[in-house]
Amino acid sequence: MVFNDPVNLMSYVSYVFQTYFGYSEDKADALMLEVHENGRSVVATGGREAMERDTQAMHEYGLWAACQPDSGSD
Amino acid sequence: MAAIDARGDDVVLRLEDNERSLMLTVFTDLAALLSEDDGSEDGSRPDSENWDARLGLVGRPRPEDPALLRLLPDVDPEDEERSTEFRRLTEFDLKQAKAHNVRIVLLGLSKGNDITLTHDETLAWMKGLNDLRLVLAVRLGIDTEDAQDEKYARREELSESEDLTLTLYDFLTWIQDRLTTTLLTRKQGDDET
Repeated sequence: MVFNDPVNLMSYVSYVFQTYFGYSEDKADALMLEVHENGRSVVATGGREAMERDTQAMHEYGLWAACQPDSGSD
Repeated sequence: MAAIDARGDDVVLRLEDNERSLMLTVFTDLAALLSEDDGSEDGSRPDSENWDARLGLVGRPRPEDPALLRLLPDVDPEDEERSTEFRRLTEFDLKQAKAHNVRIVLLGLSKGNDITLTHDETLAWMKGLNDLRLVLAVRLGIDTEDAQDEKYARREELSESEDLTLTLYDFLTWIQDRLTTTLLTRKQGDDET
């Protein structure tokens, strides 16, 4: 999950989504706008270890990200 | 005024004297922030020799400085225990990675006003600039878009130092955005071929 942050540039967020997750430009831009407009977006889902690795990577890029267990499961 | 252009696989950045010296100052400050003693028992040893921290064997306190906390955030703000555990296991590496980016920026700045960056160096600059902007935003109290808008709307009421910080922030924003769009344009060209 990535949160909106006034510091993070739209171009930079889209670049990170395209290069780190390998998303297309369209998908990356759509997720970036979702973060911007809704305040947050789930950009990836998966097992705990993979999600923690992704969160760590987002932190290295300086994006405000967190990972949380899906409600009702572990 | 600074200029940024693509040249082959590289990116060329041209800075004015005052821009370069200002960037050297603020990135040196960021390097210091990232190397500050973290308060753990082994804080007296350099990080490179701090094997207990590298291996995640010792706990790492949550940063008290909000700027540092913004660079090294909780993995799950709703779960303190999990965040503490994650910090113990990963914060050392994260901090090292950020310090490494800053070193690449400082190395580039030390070369003169015309700086040629490889693709990987450009990426390190983008990350370093983003981290520095995060720190400046915390210092300026820009934590939401509303706060940011208000800061600009009330610009004439700002103290001289706040006004200068905001000017610097805008300059760094411009450089980061130009570096990013340069790489994005190249990526789109590569994707089409």
